[in-house]
Amino acid sequence: MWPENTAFSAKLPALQLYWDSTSLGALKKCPRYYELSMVQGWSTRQRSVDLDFGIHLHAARERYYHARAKGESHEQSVDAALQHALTATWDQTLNRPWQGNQYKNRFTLAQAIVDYCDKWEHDPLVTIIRHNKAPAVEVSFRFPLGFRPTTHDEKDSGEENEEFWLCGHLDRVVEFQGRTWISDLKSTRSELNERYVKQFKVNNQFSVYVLAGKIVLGTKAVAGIIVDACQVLATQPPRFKRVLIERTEAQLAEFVQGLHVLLAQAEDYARRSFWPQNERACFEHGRACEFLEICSRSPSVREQWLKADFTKRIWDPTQVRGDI
Amino acid sequence: MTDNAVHNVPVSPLSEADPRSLDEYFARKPPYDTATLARIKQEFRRMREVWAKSALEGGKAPRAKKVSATTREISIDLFAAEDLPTGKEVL
Repeated sequence: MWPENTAFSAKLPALQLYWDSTSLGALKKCPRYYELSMVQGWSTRQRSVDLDFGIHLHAARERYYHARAKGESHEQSVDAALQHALTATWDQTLNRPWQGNQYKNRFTLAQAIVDYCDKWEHDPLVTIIRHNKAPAVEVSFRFPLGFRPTTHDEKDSGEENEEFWLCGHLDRVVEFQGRTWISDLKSTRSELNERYVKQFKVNNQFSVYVLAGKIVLGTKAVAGIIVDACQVLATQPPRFKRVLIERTEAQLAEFVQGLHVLLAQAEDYARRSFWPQNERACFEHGRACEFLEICSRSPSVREQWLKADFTKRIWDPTQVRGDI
Repeated sequence: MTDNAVHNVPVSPLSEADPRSLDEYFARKPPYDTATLARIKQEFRRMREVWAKSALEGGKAPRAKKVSATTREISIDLFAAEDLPTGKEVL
């Protein structure tokens, strides 16, 4: 348990109060996976190449839109994005570039940045400019869900009062055809076909984003998510596809109702100090869960194996981004 | 051996005047000057053109636009340059 992780309850330390789409997704996938990765904070020693690539690509796109918002030209803005990515992917300690893998590496990252920015140089999506003149890119949000842990004393008040919150970051808030949308960038090795698009129709992350957009942006017109999908290829330039995913008010209400039930379950698990395995999630999309080797061992020896093969890191959804 | 050689990404000299490959540029420690960034962009754009031409010669048809009740899938060709709303780009 991480006492310094402010996302968790001071009263019931294994109970997370500040939730984001990643931690919700982990709990939905498997309570045991959630316990190991979020409550205990175990992660693989080597960070996923997909995660690194996505972080660099997002950061570069953020640089591009900030530069454009300052009035810089397309070329200058691409330079800013490229410079940031190429510097971020240089290992200063080893004095060599980040390696990645066959598909996602420093070269394909730079190529994706240039091609993406060129592709949408004259983007019909208009980035919303905030009151402080900054573009609405990597907008951090945090709002109370309107309910609290059931075990907390009703007499609690003031600073002692704990409740559930939803947190996260919106990639880019845009206007398109008179409506507000959340634009999200996804990179993948998969083909951008019907099967790829289907995964977004019912999607925890996107429901969180649309809900956040409606509440935080204070506008009724948040229509949904516009996904800019980028297929990264080993020996060809990347391919792009833009997909619109809408969420109705009724769908969002259903999603919030689901959160009530899910977080009550989380509280029950935390109180029992027991997070059951969902064996159906051990293999997803033909890939083994990173904790499969741990969960397949007897409970008494798991801690030893975790210490040997994993490292600890804090996942704190309350951390704010967007300060370039 | 650099990234690109490891991953078999096709590289070529950037121009006759500058026989260095993109591979060599990527092996340099950043930050990069504007001229280097320009050459990197130039090479990616050249590669894109080559692939686009190759795809056209292969006779690949553009994808059809599909529409459903809750999800609208838009082909990337929907926003062709000539269809772009002018002056709407506030950035």
